Amino acid sequence: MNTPGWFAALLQVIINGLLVGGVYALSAAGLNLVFGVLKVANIAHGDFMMLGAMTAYAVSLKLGLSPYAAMLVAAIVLAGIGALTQRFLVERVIHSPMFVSLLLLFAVSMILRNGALHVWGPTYVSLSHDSSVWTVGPLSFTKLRVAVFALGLGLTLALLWLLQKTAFGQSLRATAQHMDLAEACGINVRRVRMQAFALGTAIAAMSGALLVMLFSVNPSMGEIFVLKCFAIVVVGGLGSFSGAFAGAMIIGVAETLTSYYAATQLSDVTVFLLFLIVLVFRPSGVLGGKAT
Amino acid sequence: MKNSKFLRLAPWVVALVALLVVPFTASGYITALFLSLLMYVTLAYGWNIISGYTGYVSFGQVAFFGVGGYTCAILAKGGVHWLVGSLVGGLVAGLLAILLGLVMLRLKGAYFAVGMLGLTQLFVALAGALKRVTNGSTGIFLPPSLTLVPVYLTMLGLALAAIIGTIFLHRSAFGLRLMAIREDEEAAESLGIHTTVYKIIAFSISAVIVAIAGGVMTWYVSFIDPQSAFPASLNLTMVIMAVFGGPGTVWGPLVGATSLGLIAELLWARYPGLYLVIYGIILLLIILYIPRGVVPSLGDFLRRRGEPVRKRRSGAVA
Repeated sequence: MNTPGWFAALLQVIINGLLVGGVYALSAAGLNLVFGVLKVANIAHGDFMMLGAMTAYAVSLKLGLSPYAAMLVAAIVLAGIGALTQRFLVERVIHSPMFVSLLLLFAVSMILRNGALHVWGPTYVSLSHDSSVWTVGPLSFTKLRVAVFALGLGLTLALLWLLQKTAFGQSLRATAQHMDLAEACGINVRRVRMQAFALGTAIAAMSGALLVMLFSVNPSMGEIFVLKCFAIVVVGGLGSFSGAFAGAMIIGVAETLTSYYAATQLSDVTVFLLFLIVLVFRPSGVLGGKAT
Repeated sequence: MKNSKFLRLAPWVVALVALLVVPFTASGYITALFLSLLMYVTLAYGWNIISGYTGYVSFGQVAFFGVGGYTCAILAKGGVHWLVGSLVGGLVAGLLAILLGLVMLRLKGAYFAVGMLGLTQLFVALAGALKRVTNGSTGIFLPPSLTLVPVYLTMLGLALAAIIGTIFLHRSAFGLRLMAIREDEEAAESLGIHTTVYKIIAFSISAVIVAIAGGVMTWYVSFIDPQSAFPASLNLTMVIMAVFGGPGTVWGPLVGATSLGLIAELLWARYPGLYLVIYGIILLLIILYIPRGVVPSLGDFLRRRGEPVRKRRSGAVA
């Protein structure tokens, strides 16, 4: 095979971006779920990811669990925290104007981020050890990245299955479509909202736990990742799960391309510009139909 | 009539005189404390104009704090007086806000909030990347200012300007239009209010106020780098202070900034790591229990207590 060097490099960068996109897709699905069911923009989503990452890290280190087992522990812990946050905080402002829930979750984000900074300090942590690769021609696939991508993808598909094929998913979708009608049909919408939020934070935790296997993260990671998740959701079209999947891939690739060909610090700038350009020119997302 | 007006103004005059006397009589520590409080007041009023009155909740007005800071630092480095540098910083931020507003203010609700968060990140990244202008992550060192008194008086003037400006804004047709946008932007538009223009003006005024404060503070600390230019803590505190006092009110930011500012200075010294957590909890409690803020809630409470019993009862029936 005679592939020119620059082309192989480009392909490699794109593959790396797609592999990261698997985790992004999962995380964005959690944000989408909460927005769909509760009609609340969870601005603390990135901090729930961070808490998941730090919990997985701490559990893995203290109890000697494998990173994958630690991910499940983090998911359970964060589901509990999410359920409590929803029941005692978000539920109380669910019928208030948007800015009230926004400020409330802003406060939650502040407490989580600065609390975590107090507990763990600003040092970066990572669970990644394995750097073995599969080589296919001029391309190399880090095994760990492939595994994380597969897990992210698998969990996203599991969520879709849960939403589409189960009675629980049906109650979530019904509440998302019309809260009052769902309630009139005998669905306990208060409970559904709590379940949706808990599921959303558990998903955030799992994606955080997967990220800490790939990169070094610290308690401030939320401020970047909340933006990334919103960018993904926006690029894909709000509320659309398949759109968010495409959005995650686009953001992942855009990011790695910027890091490779320009500068690492500029990758967040690219994400933000995509967010802005899509919101201004195609508010329904790149795949969406007409603007709403 | 004239007499009562004088009596009403008297406490304010006393307070102003006291504030003017502070830097000449009190210790350096107390003056610095008052300077911080005045900065908080200024920032809270700046945030209040776009987020409190117009309803566009910004989690990133600190971006303009940094713009003002950098402008002042760069000009001061070139020999321009810091006061001129700060004012030019305000002008630059105001013009920048008009351009950015054309894009950002098309975003609504959560998108605007997240967008402003992102804008701040963008500015931090740019400040680090544009090494020729900002000296990158090394930052710009200015000669030690040693000018606490003029800095203090400038900040006092700025805070007063923000307060007096808000008093007029609250009663003006301009302010009414901003509030109409906050309540229902489409309805405001259909009533013939050119909402885009008013939103951009409000955004720009807010940016000018925040940026001048940024310039003055940068001169005061004689240093700026991407981290100190866009401090996350200030970004949070200006939101909390305005919301605590009462967003979209004349006196809310003053009450919020002075009370929480004092708490901040106490907590900051004792629990440097935890004070933002405590702030978050305060914000949480306000939103859950007094979402309109202290000033309107307290006003209601006093009014209810002040009413005669009969009237109160009839009010309850109606």
